[in-house]
Amino acid sequence: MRGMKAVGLWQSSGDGVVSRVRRPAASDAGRTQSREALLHACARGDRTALHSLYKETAPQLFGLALRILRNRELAEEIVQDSFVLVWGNAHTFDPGRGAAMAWLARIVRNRCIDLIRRRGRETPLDHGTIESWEDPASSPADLAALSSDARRLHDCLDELEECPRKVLKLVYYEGMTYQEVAVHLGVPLGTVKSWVRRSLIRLRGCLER
Amino acid sequence: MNHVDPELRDQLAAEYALGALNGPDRHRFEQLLSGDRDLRNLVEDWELRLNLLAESAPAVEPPAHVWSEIARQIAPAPAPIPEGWLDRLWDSLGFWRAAAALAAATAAALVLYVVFLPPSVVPDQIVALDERLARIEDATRGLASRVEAVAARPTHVAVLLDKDQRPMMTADLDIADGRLVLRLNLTPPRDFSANMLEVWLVSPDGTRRSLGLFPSERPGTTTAFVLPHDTAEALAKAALAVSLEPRGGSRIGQPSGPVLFTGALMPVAL
Repeated sequence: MRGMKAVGLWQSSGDGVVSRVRRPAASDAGRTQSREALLHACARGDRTALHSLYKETAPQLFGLALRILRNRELAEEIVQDSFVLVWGNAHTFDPGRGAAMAWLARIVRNRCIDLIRRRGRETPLDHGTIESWEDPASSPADLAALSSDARRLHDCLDELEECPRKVLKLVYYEGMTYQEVAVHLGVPLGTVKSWVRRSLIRLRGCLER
Repeated sequence: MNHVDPELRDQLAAEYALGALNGPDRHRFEQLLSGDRDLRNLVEDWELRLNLLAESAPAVEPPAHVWSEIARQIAPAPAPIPEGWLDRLWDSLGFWRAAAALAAATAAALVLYVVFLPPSVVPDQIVALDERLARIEDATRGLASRVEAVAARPTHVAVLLDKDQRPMMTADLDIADGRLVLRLNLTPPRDFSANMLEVWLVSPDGTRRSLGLFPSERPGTTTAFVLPHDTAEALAKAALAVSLEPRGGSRIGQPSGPVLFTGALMPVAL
């Protein structure tokens, strides 16, 4: 099953592979001010807090948007709009419901998904240029940089079988539909659907333990 | 599909949150969402769970202009430039009436002065006075037409309200000469860095046509459109709408952005 190799990192047409940057250290203890605290400061009208939050989270959010959209301009636009939205809606952030990073990523990713579901990707998934794809957060260093919530989710993902886990990651990180995953992996559509559905249920079970 | 089944609801919420639903499935689910608060909460919980995966996304530094644009958009709105007393005076009908009356009186006094000129006045002085009189008369004529313009009586008026019933714009229409005068009272809380306001005629049957772009989002901005006679006639029985459009206006001949405020025209003589 060649398809288990996932789609390559988005590439810019001119200058090769986009530059990877080091993820800012995001361990809960290592941060001077938590993202949650920064969001609360934004809600009080503190513009420097938004800038700190941007510096800390924008690279990953931009990386995610790029990966889903495969279009640099659109990804820039969505990250930009999302932070303006964050500024206007920071008061609605409820740390009791979820982590700040998830709240931020939800805004960015939902917009990306809306866009590609509404009008399709400008750059279609091109199975011919699939690159060796680095599994996000696979290295020990990456894992160490995760917040405790994200590490927990990662551990729960690890409990899934390999194929369902990879499918889930393709849908999340590449924004693929069931159909796209099925074509990409050469697996029947029904199999893809049941993998995802079962994985989601197992994930929640694991997270609630 | 049984949408009461809690397991199915949860499954669909999770799939939607993951972004896996597509096409008609996605569309149907979105329709369900719009009327179902509990379902929206389920989706949000799933979104907040799954989006922790973003922490593991490959980081790519966005270009510097992304932040500078965000910073620009969240910058405190510049205090509106207070309309100077001179501007207000310039727009005020009373001022022009008074100024015109004063000018006319001055001209009349000058005429009297010239008529009852003492014989000692030399011809050169008469020529100079004549010139001054002519200049004053010219100025008076200008003032008179200005007074007329400001005083033009609209046949129809409209107050355009936004969704919170704020009187965002007022409109005066004179169907006799097709002049539509619009005044923006309040600045809509929108991003005008790349957008502007476009004015639409909305017919009772719902068809919309553009009347033009509004030049500025500054409160107090007044602009006039001169409409063809039949457009003015149609507008008298229709409504105005103002939408937010990209610079240069909507490219599709219909509002492409949100409609921010609307109001129907009413005859001034009820």
